[in-house]
Amino acid sequence: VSALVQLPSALREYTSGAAQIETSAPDVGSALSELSARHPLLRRHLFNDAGELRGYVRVYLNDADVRDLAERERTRVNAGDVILIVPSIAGGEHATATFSREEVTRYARHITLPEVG
Amino acid sequence: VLAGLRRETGAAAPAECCGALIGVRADREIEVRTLIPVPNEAADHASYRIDAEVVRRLERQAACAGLHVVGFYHSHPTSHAEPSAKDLELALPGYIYLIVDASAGAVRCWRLRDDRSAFTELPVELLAGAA
Repeated sequence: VSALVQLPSALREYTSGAAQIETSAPDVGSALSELSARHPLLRRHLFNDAGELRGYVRVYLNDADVRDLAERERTRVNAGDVILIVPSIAGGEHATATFSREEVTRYARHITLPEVG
Repeated sequence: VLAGLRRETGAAAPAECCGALIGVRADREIEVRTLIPVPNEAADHASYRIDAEVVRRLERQAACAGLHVVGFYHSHPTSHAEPSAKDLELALPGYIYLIVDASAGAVRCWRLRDDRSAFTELPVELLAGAA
């Protein structure tokens, strides 16, 4: 008997539409690694280049946030357990690499090439 | 729907507003049926944040109605409706991201590419009575 890893709708296209995947991994971290190994395109969305879980990925083991468990990702997984992956959603215009409308208006007056006039 | 979104954007300014897009996926199309506003948990005005606990609740509510969380929306109070570097870093490709330019009222829709390199803009089609 195995445990289940449940995925948010946003990641199911990388598991051929499957909402949950069976795992017999011994702990939470291994279950996530196993999931990534079986579905390689999923990996880059769960882990960063350093192999760490991305900041927006929250993992629950039977409703308990894994970050709150004493052994975190090393917490043992038992038969019948449910590991749930949920993203937090964030972003915004902060740290944007583009100019705001006011900046474009302001600087547009200064960016005038001599050849053009 | 869009009129309500623009009103919400204006009311939230100078902070960003945010919420979930609930709908259905069918082949290459995504139909947004309803928007659910969510309190912005970000500490500063130029960001938005929806905690995983909220996303988890939204996913469950949507599933109970036979729908999916197909994406999220947020506003840019002082810049265009284009994804920022921060949006790129924190996005997931399976969701669509609706961004509202709070000043001009423009609404544009984006999806992260599978390789996480950039967003692709998606055309938005308004169904009858949706505007």
